[in-house]
Amino acid sequence: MPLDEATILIVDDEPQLLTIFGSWFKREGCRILLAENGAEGLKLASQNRVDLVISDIRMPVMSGIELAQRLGKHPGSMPQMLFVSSAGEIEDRELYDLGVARMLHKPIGRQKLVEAARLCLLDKDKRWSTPPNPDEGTIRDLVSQASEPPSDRIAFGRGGLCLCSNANLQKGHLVRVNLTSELDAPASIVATVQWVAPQHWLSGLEIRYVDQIGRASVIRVTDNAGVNAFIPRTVGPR
Amino acid sequence: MIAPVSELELEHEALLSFMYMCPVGLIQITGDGTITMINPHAMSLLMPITHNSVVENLFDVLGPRNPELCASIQNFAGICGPVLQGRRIHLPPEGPDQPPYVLSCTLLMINRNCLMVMLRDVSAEVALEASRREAAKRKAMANDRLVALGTMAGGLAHEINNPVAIIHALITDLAETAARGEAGCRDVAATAAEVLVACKRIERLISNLLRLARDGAGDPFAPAVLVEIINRAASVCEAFFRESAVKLVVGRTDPSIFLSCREVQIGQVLINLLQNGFYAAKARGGAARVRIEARRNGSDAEIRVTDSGQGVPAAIRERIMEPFFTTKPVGEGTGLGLSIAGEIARAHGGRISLDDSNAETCFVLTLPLLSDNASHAAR
Repeated sequence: MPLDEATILIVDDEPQLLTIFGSWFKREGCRILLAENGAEGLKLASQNRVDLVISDIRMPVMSGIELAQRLGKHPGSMPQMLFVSSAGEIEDRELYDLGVARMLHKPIGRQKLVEAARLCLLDKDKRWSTPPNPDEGTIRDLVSQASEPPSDRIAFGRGGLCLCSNANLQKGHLVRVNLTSELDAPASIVATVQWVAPQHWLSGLEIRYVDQIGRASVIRVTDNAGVNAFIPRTVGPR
Repeated sequence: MIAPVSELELEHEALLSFMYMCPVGLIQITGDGTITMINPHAMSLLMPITHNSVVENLFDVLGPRNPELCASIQNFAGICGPVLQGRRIHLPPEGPDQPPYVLSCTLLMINRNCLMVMLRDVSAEVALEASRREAAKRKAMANDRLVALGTMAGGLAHEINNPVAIIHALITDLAETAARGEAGCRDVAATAAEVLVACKRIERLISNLLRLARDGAGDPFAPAVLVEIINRAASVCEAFFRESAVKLVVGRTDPSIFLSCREVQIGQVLINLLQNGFYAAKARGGAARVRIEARRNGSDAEIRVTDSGQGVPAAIRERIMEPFFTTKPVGEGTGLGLSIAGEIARAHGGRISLDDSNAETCFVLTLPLLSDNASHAAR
C-alpha cells in the first residue's frame, strides 16, 4: 500500500512529538490518527481501519507492549506495527514475537521514520521481490551448512521465521534458506538474522526476498501464520 | 647477718616486680574495694578521674559510674577465677571535644578476700567501632538512596529522551527546509523557541536528579526552602508514577517554610515515602493516587504523604520502621527505606509517624522549622 493511501495511528504520551510525527506523515498524504496512550490508541484502532501503528513503549494508562498484545488478540486483523522508543527498554526478540515489525529508537529524523513506515506498508509481493543489496554482506547458504531443516524445526510468523539450526548465526547476517517440503512450492528465501538465542540454537529471520517460484506460497503461509508474531520466538507448538 | 628470705617473700617480691612492669593496669583489692596494691599503669589509667589524689577504695573511683561492678565484687561467691570479664566502664571525656574515655575491666578472684582488677584503655577500640558503625550506616543510607533513584531511573531516562527527540525532530526538519532554501527567519525563530523549551526541560530534570544523586550525608546543615525540596523529589518520581497511572498530587506548600537540613537526605526521605505510597496505591488499584503536602505546626514543619492504598494493617504497624521489614515483592526496595528515613529524620531532630486519625494511609515527616530570624537571614 502506498503511503498516501494509508491510515496511520500514532501513539505517544509526548504531545509535541505526536504533533511533529503527525505532521511528517500528513505531508506524505497519509490519514493520521493521534493518541496519547495505548488505551486511546486501542479505541481509535477499533473504530477505524488502521494500516500502520507507530507507538511509543512507555506510556501511562496502557503501554505500547499492552497495545501490541491487545491488537494481536485477533490473528489476521492486526495492523503493521512499528515502535519508536528509548533504547534498551525491551529485547527485540520479545517485540518481534508480539507482532511488531520494526523497532526504532528516539531521537529519530523524518526521513528514517517515513522510510521505515513506507517499507512496512509495502505489499509482501513488492517488498520481497528485490534481493538485498550486495553491499549489505554475503549471503550464507544454510542448506550447505546443515541438512534440510525438517518442519518441526521451523515456524513462520507474519514477516519472518524462527529457525532451529546449528549454523553459527549472528545478528545482521544474511542467510539463504531453501524450503521444499514445508510449502506448496519450493522456495528460496533470503533473510536477515534479527536475533539469536544460541542456548536453544534458535534464530529469528526477517524475510527480505523470496524467489519468484516460491513467493506466493511464502506469502500465503506467512499471512495465515496462525500467530500474530512477526518473527515467532519458538518453533515448538504454541 | 642477713636474715634468710623465705620462699613466700620471694614470691611476693616477684609478684610486685611483675605488677610494677606489667603494661596492663593491675589493682589488688579486698572484697569491700579497699586497694591493697596498685601498679603505675593503673595509676596513670585512673589519673583522669583521681586527678593525682590518693585513692584508697576502688569503689569510690569506679563505683559511682558502675554499680554493677561493685555489686559483682561484693557478691562474689568466694570461688577462685574470673568474676567479670572485659566490662566496659565509660568515663567522662577529659574535655568537651575529647573522645569518650573507656576502660575495660576484668576481675579475677585470687583468694577469699583478695581480688585482682585488670584495667585496659579501650577508648581507641571503642572509637574505631563507633566509626565503623557510622560508616556502615552511611553506606546503607547511600545504598538506599541509590536504590530509590535506580527505581526511578528508567522513567527518568525516558523523560529526558523525549525532549531530546523533540529537539532532534525540530532541528532535522529545519535543516531539511533550509536545504530546500525555504527556511525563513520566522521558521528559525519558532524552532529555536521550541528547542529552548525542550532544553529547559532536560536541564531541570538533570539538575533535580543530580541534587538528589550526590552523597549528602556529610553535608553541613544548611537553610533550605521546603517547597523546593518537595518539588525536586516529586519531579524525579513523576515519570515513574505516570507510567503506572498512579497520580502524584503535589499540594500547595507555604514557600516561606524553611528548614535547617541536609537537603539531599530530606529529598531521599521524601522519595522513599513517595515510593512506598506508590506501591501501596498501585497494589490497591482503582483511582490510585499519592499526595504530598506540607504545613506549619507550631515550631515544626509537617510533611504529609497520603496514599490511596489499603492502609497499613494493625498487625505490622509496629514493625514498619524496622530495618529490612518490607511488604514489597523481592526486587522492589531493600526494606531499609523507612528505617533509614526514620534515622535521617531523627538526625534532623524530627520523626516519621503514621497518622492514625486519617482514613487513608498517611505518613507524616515532622521536622523542626528554621527559626524565623534564621530563615529571614537565609532569604
